[in-house]
Amino acid sequence: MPVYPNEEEEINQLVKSPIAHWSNKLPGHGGIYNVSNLNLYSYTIQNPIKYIDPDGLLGYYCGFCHASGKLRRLNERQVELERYSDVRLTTYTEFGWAERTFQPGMDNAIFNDENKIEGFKARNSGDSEFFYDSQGNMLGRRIVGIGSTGDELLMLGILQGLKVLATAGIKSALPNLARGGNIKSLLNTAEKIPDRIKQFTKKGGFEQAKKDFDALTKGVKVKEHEGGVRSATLKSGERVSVRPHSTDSRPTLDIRSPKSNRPTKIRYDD
Amino acid sequence: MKYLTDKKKIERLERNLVDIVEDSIHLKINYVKKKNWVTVPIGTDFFYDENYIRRLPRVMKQIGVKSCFAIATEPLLPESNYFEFETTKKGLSAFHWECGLFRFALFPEDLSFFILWTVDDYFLIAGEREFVESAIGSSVETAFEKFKEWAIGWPTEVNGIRLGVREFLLGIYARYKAVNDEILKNNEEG
Repeated sequence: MPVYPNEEEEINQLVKSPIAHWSNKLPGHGGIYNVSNLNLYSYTIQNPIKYIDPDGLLGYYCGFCHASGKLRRLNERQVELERYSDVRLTTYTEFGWAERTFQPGMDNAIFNDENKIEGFKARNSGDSEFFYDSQGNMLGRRIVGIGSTGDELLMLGILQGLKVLATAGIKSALPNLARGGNIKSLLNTAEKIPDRIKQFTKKGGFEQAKKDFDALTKGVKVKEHEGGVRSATLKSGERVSVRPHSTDSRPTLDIRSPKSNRPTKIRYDD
Repeated sequence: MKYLTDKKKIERLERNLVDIVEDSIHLKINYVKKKNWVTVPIGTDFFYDENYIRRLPRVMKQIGVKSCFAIATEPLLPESNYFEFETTKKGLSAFHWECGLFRFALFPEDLSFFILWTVDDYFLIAGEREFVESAIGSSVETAFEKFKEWAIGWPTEVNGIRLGVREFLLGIYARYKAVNDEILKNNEEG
């Protein structure tokens, strides 16, 4: 995980801890082996009126909300939530489930390159946190001190793409979250080239470039040109190509958005 | 922007490419010399500058070019390789969207200029000095220096991952600087 390269081993150890294991694999997040589950309504964060969890797979409340594409800017300081979805992430701390709350607004909004709101940062006061996707895969971890912020972690979560537990209440938000999410996930696996706009580099050569291209273009028609160049238009409108040799001889994945002339490029080195 | 289907026209345009383009990313030196053109490499970063997008069509129109061909210089599937677009900001944007992922040559019927779009990192503008300088908005010499500076700005490595862009771009700089200098010298001598 490029954002936290030095913590990988520590992450692995913690992920292997029994409670983390159960909380990922078992409905109900560890069942009776997880002390927090002894509370009668913990499955709905003590709020059975607000939340339902018929299959026991609902993640615990995090307070991280994402309203991509749902916001309208009123002025410099205010955004209006045209439609708000309570999207939840599972967080886990070494000392129990953590709760995070925040109010979305201009102060904690995260803007993308096109100055559109991409998500929000949440304030937190947790310890060790783990973020998981809907399949139970860990997206990231960050140790935070009391009173510090989880901005970086949440940024990671956003950049990694889909990171919510699909429950009845939020399913409608998923397509919007998924839009462009794969590209952001992909870019998070690459190294940004300093002082160059939307230019990235990554190891793995053409094989990795093809894998990344395939992941992005899953489910859409791909044009196979002579010479190994492949191109496709994503459902979200971006055009993508991968070529075995760019001008500096390295394979390149090129993404163009209809909203911006400037392409995003990843160059792959072996 | 329209897709070209006239086979005779396409054959003629393809012959132009054979005469002018080398390895899909270079202009043939002999052709450039024969036409007495100046050729300037431009970092693609600058293409995304709105000034370029506005200026290019205007300058094309000023020399009486109302439309321009966009012909792929690499093998692409049918319906991805032969276009004609109007020399307007909209036309250029359409080219960019339709063809920007691939290597293309842009040139008018009368071959009064030639733009080689290489997808990666640079494009070439070739033509009469007056046209080129109007298109790039500076003197040829300044454009070369700007390109060199931009090329040098590329890192050679990012967190252990090698990058060959700087070396490659400096090679492009040297190639076309040498041609321009030679043409200039020949012109001065007679």
